[in-house]
Formats: sequence, C-alpha cells, structure tokens
Amino acid sequence: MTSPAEEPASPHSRLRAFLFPRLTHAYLLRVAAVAVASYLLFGHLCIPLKIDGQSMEPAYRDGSWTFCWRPAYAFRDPEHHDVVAVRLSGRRIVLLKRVVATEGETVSFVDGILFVNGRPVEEPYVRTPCDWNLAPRIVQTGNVYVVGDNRGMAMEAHDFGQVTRERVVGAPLW
Amino acid sequence: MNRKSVFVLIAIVLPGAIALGLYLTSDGRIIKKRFALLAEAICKEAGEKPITTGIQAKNLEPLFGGSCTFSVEEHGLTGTFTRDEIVRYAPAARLRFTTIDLTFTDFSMEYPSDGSAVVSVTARFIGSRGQAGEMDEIIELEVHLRESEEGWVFTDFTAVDVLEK
Repeated sequence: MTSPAEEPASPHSRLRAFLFPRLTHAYLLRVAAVAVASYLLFGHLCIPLKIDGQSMEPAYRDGSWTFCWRPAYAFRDPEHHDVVAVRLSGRRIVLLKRVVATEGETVSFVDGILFVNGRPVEEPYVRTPCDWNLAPRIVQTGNVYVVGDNRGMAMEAHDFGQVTRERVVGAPLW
Repeated sequence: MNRKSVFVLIAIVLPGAIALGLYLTSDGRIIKKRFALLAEAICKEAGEKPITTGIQAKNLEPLFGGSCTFSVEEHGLTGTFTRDEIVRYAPAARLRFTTIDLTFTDFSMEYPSDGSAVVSVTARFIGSRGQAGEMDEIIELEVHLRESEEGWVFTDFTAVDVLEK
C-alpha cells in the first residue's frame, strides 16, 4: 500500500503547494526569517533609493534607482571623488553628492573650474559646461565638501557645500 | 472557555489595553496631532473658496501661543510673529499657490524640561503656482513646542542647514 506522501506529485499539485503551502511551524519560521532578514537588509543596511532630481546627472539619472550601502563608511572616511549619500532629513531623505574636498582643504570655483588648495582639479564626471564662481573657503574639521556632477545648473539652484561627517550615511551601490 | 484560557487572554489583552491607553494619551501622539492639524490648515485644494480660506486661517489660531519665531531663511520666512499676525498673514501666503500639500514625517521628540518639547521632523511642501510651475521642497525642521492651557503650542520653527556653501 502506498501512502499519499509517497505518491508522485503532479505539476498542478506542486504549483498549488508552492502558491498555497501548508502553514506548518517550519514554513512560518521560514517566512518570519525572510521577513526579518529583508527588514534588516533593506531597512538598515542596503536601502533602496529613488533618484529625484538632476544634480548628479549624467552619473545618476532623474527617476532611476539605486541602493544606499550604509556600512560603506563604517571603517573609513569618504575620499575625493567618492559619491556619498548625505542625510538631508529624517532617515529616508538623502542627497547623492560627490566629495570634492575633505577637512582642512580650501575649495573654490573659478569660471566653472574646481580648485582645491589652489590647484585645479580634473573632473571627468562633469560633462556640462559650467560658469560657477565661488570664493575660497576652508572645509571645517569633521566636514567634507560635496558637489553634484551636473554643473550645468545655476549655482544658486544647486545644493552643495560642506556637510558634517555624521550626515554621510553611506554610498550608492552602483 | 476554561480558567487557564481566561488567564492567558487577560495576560495578553490587559497589557495591550494599558499600552494602547498610554499611547493614546501620550505627549508624543498629541504633538503629532498638532502637526497634522497644522498641515491640514495649510494644505489647499484647487479652487478654494474664500470662506474656506478664512476657516483654514482660523484653524491655525489654537496651534500657536503668544508668539512664534520662524527661521526658514531659504524661503524668506524669518521673524517673530504674534498669533494674530500668523492668522492674518497665512491667507496671503497661501494665495500665492493654487494647491498646497504639506506633510510632516520622521518625528523625533525630546523633552528638555517639563512642558516643553523639541521635535525634529521632515517637512515636505509641494505647492503649485499655475504657470509659474511647482515648488517641491523637503527640509528638516527643528520645532519647539510649549505646553499651555490650550494644549501644546508651536513656539519656534528652525530649518536645519545641512549644506553650507
């Protein structure tokens, strides 16, 4: 005599078992484990980001998606040309910007060219013509200076400047 | 239902009811409600009638105490205003937009002393100005409130500057 458990499962019954599994303890435990892992991964470690704005074009297009990898700067400080996620407000609103200078350095723009410590900086990621002029300023201790890649925007309309290290909450995954 | 089940049920329901009671009467919930009322009084739908504008402005009155200080320099909102001034100026400010949507999220509250609260909150303002386009701004605000006889009232709004050019 063959027990029902030993009968070969048909594709239909396998599909039904997949879509409507029995609520066994093991199954509920798996669901709970997946839920907790997803919450930790996507809620705290690798947060989905929707790009809303053009300040980082062409590297990050308006309306595209990426993930903010939170531990990126857990054991090191942001370096020149790193793209970082800056906490703008609350836990969820972040700005993607590029680090152009670190603490103690002097930053300025002359006719659209970035100068750090009085030397012009080559920025291959900037693809738009720029006419920004900004008097030299020193990046304070514990801060980094961040700017978006899209310098085709008017300087007044572009959010950039120095920000505290604590506000840098991670880096985009790509 | 046997006695054991009754005990188990009471053990679950009673702490839940106490927690719910504490939550419903907590300062945090009351303060969040004040923010919700503020957003409601500022939000605007297209084609708003003048009488609605007046009612909306009047709804602001109980949310403010004697005076309130605003330091939102980027949007030209600075200075200390009395409650009457806020109620008087608000309709004119709202008139610049055809629709307004204001939301407050990500609340973080501290109580530095009895009867005072400091709230860090994300404010998102979406205002449509017809031909002039849309204004969509997100800022972090530090808001101070004081507990008065009329309940929690707003006393200070300061925009947190994240980037310093």
